[in-house]
Amino acid sequence: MTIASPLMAKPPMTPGVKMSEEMFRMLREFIYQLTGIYFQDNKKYLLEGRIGKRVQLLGLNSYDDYLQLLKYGTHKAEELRHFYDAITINETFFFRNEPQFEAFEQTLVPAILARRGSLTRQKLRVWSAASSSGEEAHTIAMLYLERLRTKYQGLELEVVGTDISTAVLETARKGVYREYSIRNMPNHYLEKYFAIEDVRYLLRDEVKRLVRFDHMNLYDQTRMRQMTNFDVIFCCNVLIYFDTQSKIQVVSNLYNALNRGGYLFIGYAESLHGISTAFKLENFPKTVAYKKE
Amino acid sequence: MTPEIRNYVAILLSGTDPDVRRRAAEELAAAPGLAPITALAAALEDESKGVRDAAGRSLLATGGIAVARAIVEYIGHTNIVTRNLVAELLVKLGDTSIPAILPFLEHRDRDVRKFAVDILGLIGSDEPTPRILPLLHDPDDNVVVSAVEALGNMQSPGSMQGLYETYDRYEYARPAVAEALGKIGSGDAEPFLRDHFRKSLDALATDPVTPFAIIEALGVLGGSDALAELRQTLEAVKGTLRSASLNAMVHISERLGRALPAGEGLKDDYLLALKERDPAVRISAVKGLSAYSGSDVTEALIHSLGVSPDVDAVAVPALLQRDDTLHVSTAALEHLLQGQRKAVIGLLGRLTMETIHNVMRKAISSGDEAVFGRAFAAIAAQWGAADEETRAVIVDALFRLDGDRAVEFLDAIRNDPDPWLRIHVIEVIAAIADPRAPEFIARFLQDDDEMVREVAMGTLQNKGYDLAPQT
Amino acid sequence: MGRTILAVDDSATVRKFVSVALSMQGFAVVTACDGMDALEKLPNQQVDLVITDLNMPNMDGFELIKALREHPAYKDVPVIILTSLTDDDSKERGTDLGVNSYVVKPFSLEKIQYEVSKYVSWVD
Repeated sequence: MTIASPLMAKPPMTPGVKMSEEMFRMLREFIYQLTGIYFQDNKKYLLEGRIGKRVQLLGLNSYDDYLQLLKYGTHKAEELRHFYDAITINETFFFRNEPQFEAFEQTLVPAILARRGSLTRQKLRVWSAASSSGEEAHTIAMLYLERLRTKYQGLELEVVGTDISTAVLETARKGVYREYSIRNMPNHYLEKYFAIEDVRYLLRDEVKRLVRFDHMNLYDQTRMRQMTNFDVIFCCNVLIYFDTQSKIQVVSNLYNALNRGGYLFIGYAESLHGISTAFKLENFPKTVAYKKE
Repeated sequence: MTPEIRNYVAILLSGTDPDVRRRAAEELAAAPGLAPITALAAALEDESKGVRDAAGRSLLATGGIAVARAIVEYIGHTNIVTRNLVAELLVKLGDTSIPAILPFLEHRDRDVRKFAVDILGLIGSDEPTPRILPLLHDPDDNVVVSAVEALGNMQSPGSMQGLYETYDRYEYARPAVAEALGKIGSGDAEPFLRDHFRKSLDALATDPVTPFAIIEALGVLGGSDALAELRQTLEAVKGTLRSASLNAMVHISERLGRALPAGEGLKDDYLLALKERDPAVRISAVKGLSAYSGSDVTEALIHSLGVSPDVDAVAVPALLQRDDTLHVSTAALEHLLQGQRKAVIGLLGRLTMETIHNVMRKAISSGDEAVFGRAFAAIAAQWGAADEETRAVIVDALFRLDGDRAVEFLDAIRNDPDPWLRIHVIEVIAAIADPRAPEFIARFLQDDDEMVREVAMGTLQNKGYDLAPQT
Repeated sequence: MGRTILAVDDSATVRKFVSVALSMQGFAVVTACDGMDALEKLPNQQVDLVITDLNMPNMDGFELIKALREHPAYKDVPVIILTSLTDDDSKERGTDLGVNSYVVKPFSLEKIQYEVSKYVSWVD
């Protein structure tokens, strides 16, 4: 007879070095000033776990020491990269929000092209802001190859994926994915655009060639001003990490980055209510998009 | 005015490209002087939404009475978009706007009067009270009702007498008056509300809204007399009204430090209240149901999870106190929607060792050891569809329920794309006294992620395990 | 299946009271505080009737109605305007936009229930 044997003496929920409330507030403020990302009280466990890990790996004694290193250390630029990796949540997968991609392919692209009038060569510029490991950006590229290229002769695509975490940008550039990322992908896309190697899915070059990945902090005004002339921006599931003030700033920058007649997508549970009145809201089946008129 | 500012003002007023005008509006945020303010106010009528949006934000950033005075006249503008935009700005500017708005309370256009009252109510300071009281006698009904609402939003105790009179005078203003008294929150209003409650119940068929508003207000400010009154009238009201009554009774009982209303007859009422839209009512229902045992109650509480975090904050501790939570939630897990499943898994992840030992004791004595097996299987089945946070919780829950099986399940977890979760798993395994632990951790020495490899190495070294190469 | 009504008004008081009045008749009521809020909530709902005010920030009632009439899923949804604005311009604009009823505030319960019953019947 086997009885279940719970072996845990106590729950392992918060490993790492214990973080005081005071330190949490200081770190939260530091992160906010840098990135506009605001850590709610109930996310303290996340900072504790991840930054605690950095503190241990670096062989430091306290969070104070770590903060000093980030602010004044000689290698602060390098640690900042690890820091950004530590504070971002990178949950994503291919074809994550299908209604958005359908609206994009069936309504937005035709509307944008129609507005421009007929030109033999047209280029569509799409920005996947907070692209993480690139699933969203690559989904757009695949959609173009599969559907748009044949429908619109002479149409070219340029996708720019940006993120604040360099680690995920590396992953995105490699284009190597695991089971979790492809779970929502229709089979014919998988067969056509990936090579399968054991448990890994390698994206083919023809897809990768359409996407460029760059580092970007959405809260950095100067850098954000350099992003211009986009037709569609996807900024999904990242605005939730900002507070109202920083959200207003980020969204204002996104508006400025769009061409007239361009569109913005945000996450399905998100809203621009109280954030911006600059856009026109358009409804699509199971989703909404925000148009710059 | 610097040449720069002068330039931006010029662009804003007459530039041809809306993107350039918008940029000019953004640059004028907090620019000193009246000219930028006047230009930004004019830009509220710009044809481009983007420019209007930027002008609004810049006016807010500038702030101050000068801005309020520059824009307040637009509350009478013919264009509804401009009117609404200006109202919103005035509210956001807050108390500073008040002097600018007051003159409009006597405007000849009743729509403007109403609008001015609404805005003052939303600003919230009770400073304008003496200027709003006369509007309770305004010739226009909507202005009267708006004045009532505003006085409630301002929470001005000095208006209570005027509110009582208005209740007696205007039938349609009654729900608003009751609500306003509730917002002011003074116990002095209790006798008035109780007196009128019975009468309002007589007219229930034609007007259920007034009794509803009175019930809510009594919940906020009532004492033991109100409590008794609500108890006596409970049978006379049905559906949403009864749930509201129950909610009010729970609030009053808590305030008085008394036990919550209970008894066999109320269980079904609480169960119905648990399904109401208003989270406050659901919270009261959860509190009330804690007094009742039975798996029908447990199941109802489980189904209430995952909709509102405030309700969950009360329901989860309540569920953790109940004996049959593990059993019932396991059975329910498959039939719940995604959002609810996440909440239930979170609940299970919080089961303490003590709770599990209690359940285990009961299971052994009743012969149902399989409860753990079922719970384990049900939770493990959620792995594929779970998000990052939930997966971390699943790992912990599985280890608490059945450490042996959890160690085997880890093979599936090793392929998780999230390096932080893989690190979390290493830590979990390291904390257990299982002889297979070092072997599992060693597999992470070949992980793709450098950080994960480092943690695996460090953990093995700390534990003193042999690091002979794996074949 | 019950019917769902979307009630849009920037006053929390009005939203509450319309909600109570209609849910006591068996309707499910979803509320929104202005046009933008309403449109953001729509993709997730099956809505059988819309009641909306006109004077609202972010996106007023007229813009909302226009957006609804341009929306393939909601172009035929009955719309009732509930407002304190009684000027002819507003009424005319409402008619032009294809509004079904125009109810003036302050509203009596009977009036609301009567207007609603013209377009959706409640199910026991």
